[in-house]
Amino acid sequence: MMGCCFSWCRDQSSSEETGDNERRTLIHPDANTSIQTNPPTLENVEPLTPSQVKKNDEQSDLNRILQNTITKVIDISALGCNNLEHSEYIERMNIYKAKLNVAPLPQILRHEECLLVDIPSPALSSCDISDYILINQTCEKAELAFKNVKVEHTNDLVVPFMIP
Amino acid sequence: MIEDINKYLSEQMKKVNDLFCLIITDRDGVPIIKILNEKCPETSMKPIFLSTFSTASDQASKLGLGKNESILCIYNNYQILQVNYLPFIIRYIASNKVNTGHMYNLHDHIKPVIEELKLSIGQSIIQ
Repeated sequence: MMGCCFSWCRDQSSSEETGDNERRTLIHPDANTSIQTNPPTLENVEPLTPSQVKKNDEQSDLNRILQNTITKVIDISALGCNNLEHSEYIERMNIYKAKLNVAPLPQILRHEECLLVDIPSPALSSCDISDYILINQTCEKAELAFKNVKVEHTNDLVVPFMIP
Repeated sequence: MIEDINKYLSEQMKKVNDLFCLIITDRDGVPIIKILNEKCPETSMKPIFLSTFSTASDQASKLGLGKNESILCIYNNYQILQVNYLPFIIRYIASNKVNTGHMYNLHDHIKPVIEELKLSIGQSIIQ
């Protein structure tokens, strides 16, 4: 118990200097990564010699580093390179045009072609001009009538309650 | 279908003053929908121009600030807004005097249509 307390309270720098102590991890982080990248399986244990395994490990590590570097590096030299050939460009344009022509119209752009869509057999949009004028005139009259509606003041709208 | 979309987009384009062109392309700059007026610069229709954005956007995404969504370029005479909306890339080419916020608003406004396009033809777009 005393030993544990002692080692815990010791200066960090001195523990690093001594190298081996109980707080040091048994498996070094670097060693851990190499183990994780190449987990031992039944397939690769027997047929490969140790030198071959080592070589493959190195190769896969190098490939992984290369791939990571390619992904992370900002390469502006590739800008402006158009890898598409003219024929492929035209071909793709035609494909897209054909797809667009057969694709369904987006919901927002769909216009209902009839009036009164909420009734079972809706009237088609061919509305006679005389009916149209009649509807307009009636609407104007209704609007005028609404505007002329006046409330006749007889009693107060807000009446005080009998509060003692 | 394509006529209806073109008509809708050209109507929406008129809501932004000095907007010359709206192009929807795939990742490699192959045009899918193209609406432009006579003021649109000819250079902006060239494949080399249309294909540059996706590479630039990819590289800009590596700067540690997250995924790049749009790039706005302002030139002497033009403003070019390019939006990453994979599998589509949407470009707005306008005068340098255009209100940039209006262009972004327009983009937000037409998003539902593009979203539906994505559902209907997105699978056939080469990425």
